[in-house]
Amino acid sequence: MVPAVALEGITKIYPGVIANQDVDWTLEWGQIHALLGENGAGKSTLMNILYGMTTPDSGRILLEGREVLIASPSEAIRLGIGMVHQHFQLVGTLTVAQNILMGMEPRRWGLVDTAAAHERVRALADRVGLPIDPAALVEDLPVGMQQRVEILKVLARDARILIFDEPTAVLTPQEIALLGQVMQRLASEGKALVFITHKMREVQAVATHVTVMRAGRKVGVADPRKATAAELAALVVGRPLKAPPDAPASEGGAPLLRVENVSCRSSRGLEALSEVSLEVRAGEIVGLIGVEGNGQSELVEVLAGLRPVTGGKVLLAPRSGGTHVDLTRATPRARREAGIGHVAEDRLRRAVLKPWSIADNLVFDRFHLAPYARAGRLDHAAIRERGANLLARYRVKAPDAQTAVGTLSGGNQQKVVMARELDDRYHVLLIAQPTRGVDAGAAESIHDEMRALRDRGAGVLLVTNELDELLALSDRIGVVYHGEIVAWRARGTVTREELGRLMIGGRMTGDLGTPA
Amino acid sequence: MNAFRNLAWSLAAVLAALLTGGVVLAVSGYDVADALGALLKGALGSPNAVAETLVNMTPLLLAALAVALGLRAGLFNIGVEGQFLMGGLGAVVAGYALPGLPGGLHMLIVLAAGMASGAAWAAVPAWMKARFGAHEVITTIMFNYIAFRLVGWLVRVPLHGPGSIPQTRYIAEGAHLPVLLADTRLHAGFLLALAVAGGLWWLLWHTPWGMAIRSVGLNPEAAEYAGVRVVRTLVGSLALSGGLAGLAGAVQLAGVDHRLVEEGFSAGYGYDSIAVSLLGANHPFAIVPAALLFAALRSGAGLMQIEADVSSQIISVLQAFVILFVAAEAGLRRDREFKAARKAAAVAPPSPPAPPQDPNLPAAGATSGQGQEA
Repeated sequence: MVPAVALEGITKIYPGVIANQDVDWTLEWGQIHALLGENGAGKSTLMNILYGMTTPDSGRILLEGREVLIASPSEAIRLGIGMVHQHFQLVGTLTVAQNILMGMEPRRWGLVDTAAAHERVRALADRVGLPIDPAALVEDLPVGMQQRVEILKVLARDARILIFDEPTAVLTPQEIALLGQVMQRLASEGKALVFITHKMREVQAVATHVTVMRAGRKVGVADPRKATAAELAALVVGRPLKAPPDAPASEGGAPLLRVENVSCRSSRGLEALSEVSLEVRAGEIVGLIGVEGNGQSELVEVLAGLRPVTGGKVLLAPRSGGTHVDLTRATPRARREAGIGHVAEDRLRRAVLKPWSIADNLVFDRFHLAPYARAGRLDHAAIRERGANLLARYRVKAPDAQTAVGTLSGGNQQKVVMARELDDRYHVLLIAQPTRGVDAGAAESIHDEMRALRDRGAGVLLVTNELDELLALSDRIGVVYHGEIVAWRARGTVTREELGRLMIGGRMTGDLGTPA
Repeated sequence: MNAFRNLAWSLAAVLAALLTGGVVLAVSGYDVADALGALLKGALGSPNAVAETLVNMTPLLLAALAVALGLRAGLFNIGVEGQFLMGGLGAVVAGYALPGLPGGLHMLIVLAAGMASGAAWAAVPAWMKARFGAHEVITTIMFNYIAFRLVGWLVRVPLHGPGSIPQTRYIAEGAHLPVLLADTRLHAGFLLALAVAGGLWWLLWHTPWGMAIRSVGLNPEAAEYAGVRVVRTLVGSLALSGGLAGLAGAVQLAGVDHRLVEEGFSAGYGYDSIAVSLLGANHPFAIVPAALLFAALRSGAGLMQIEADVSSQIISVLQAFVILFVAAEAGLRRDREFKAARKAAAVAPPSPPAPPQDPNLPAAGATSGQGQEA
């Protein structure tokens, strides 16, 4: 059988980096082909070549046995190749139907026929099993729904080869399960799917084939139904990964952060939290999980001083001990000075300035303090030194600390944020989605740093969508549902299945499917 | 290397603008060589012409630095024209109401008074933004009109000097900025303006406050998250921006006009300075050659009108072409850099487009700025 895609001897060299070296790779119809590798291993370059975003220095691309030149994404789309982007390429102020049919709208008397457009989107959505309201504005939709729009957009252009670039990074476990079903359905229709991911569990759940890349080369293939998650991870990283330490739950020491009956509103003015109380003690990691939009993001913002409360109190024990200080109305700066660090969930919106260098971003929260500021002037030497040190310690992949953060991959940007915040300046850390878009090796080191911080006596509040991460790190787990914490569980006393049920309000709903 | 390429592109843009301007002249039936020759001669043809160009450049440079500071903080201060006028007002009052002060001291007081009134004038829109979220583009432009009318009335009624012409009294001799070159109007304000350019560069890239300003300008949400006092930074930068505009007015008054007339004191320096700042990519050093170019066009226009019979209004057309070509060049460069960044990032997952370059490395910006001047 002629494969859908055959790449032969693909080499792509950027100044200073070999992105792909002599890569041979085939994709058959009906496959769900997982492409694994660390950030910077060359898998995205390979897919960018297939999608026409860049051209190889040497090598051939065969589409159904015919050699093709793919000079641009529009060329790729014409050839039946579609990409579901990690960062959605959608226009928020347009409707679902307008986004899906952009540039190919049905017309009537020279005008867009909205009714026909909605009908077409509805028919397509029903056929692939991704129901959606064609008239809804994209910006009003939760992330999982926005991804549906992205997928439908690709399918509306008759793509037969679909590339999913880290599609699960921003999804809840329920949405991931549903996405898996949709991918399997598409594969059973004979389409060829490529799946870029860092999560071994998902590979095992849906992939039929696995190719592993490291440092620009194809280093192996595996059968996802036979290989274990640990074996796959070892292949990716090039060494066996440590199993998460199976230590008993930390009891924790004195309560550092006390949240008492806190309520707040969402950005839309609806009640997002209602009278939430919790404690983070010294030397413990408290993990919160919930389906996106249930208030956990707002809780972190309230604690960081970025969102006002409508009621309740936020109290912090000073680093030196003693009575708690009331920080309920304190500014973000005052909270940082009091010792609360924060890894924001949306790093590009909040946590980094892309045009700034790594070194400048690493002092973003402290450039007004000694030794970086002395007598009203910046000490660039001190800033550079911190940059170089943390660059090495967190193994950020960049030529040097003067590199602009905007040119780094998402995973390396996240390492920069982590390096800045996981610092002894802070004794309480608010950490949201610490390993979103981060590869297994880097995630392991981020987790190690978080545990080390806890073991030094800091209190950590972790908010994550990843059950594996939650279970590996948390000493106590709280489940957030509809703006309340509906259940607390100690480490080791709860299963993934139970958490999944609690996250959707303790009931199983057919629409969301079974939790992963 | 990169700085050289940028310099070459900027120069190419300016040349393309002049060529296009030449085409416009030719189409309008003028002798292009005559016109451009007279323009050049008027701007740089004699020591006095050069001095006049630098005299024109001084307020333009200071006002453009005011615009640049605002834009670095993410604020579009369109009120520079009004703040310039208020600076002149503060300076003239301090200049004649305080006779008998020692010369040098009086001059400093005049400049400080101008700067303070410009800052105070900008502080009101700044407060309105911080308190009510009123957009500075609207409020600062409104404050321009208030300033025009206020100064017009003051000059006609309470501050009307001797004689029938609507103008204030002259400031004391001791408050004049010293002349640098005998038999010209070139005054010490020119050196002050260059020093302010250096000072602004230092502020932005070598002080914590400058770092805060740049972070707020790039992304106020991120700045807030990182603990920068966003409101304070915004209000402070807009007030300082107004202070620089006021200083520009004070320098013009103490160096050239010596009294405030009802109309024609600013001669549009405040509005031109917005273009100059954009032309210099809001970098204090790159603004220096940009201000020189605009000043040369301004001061050459008169001779062009006399010798080649070309309306000096054509200069506005030339300036517009310069802005157009520089903007186009900047757009092209952004596109090139975006592609380069995407290539560099292609080993990683595709990220959203990189934002326009931030001349974050003072050294690179400095080289390009000084290079353009040479």
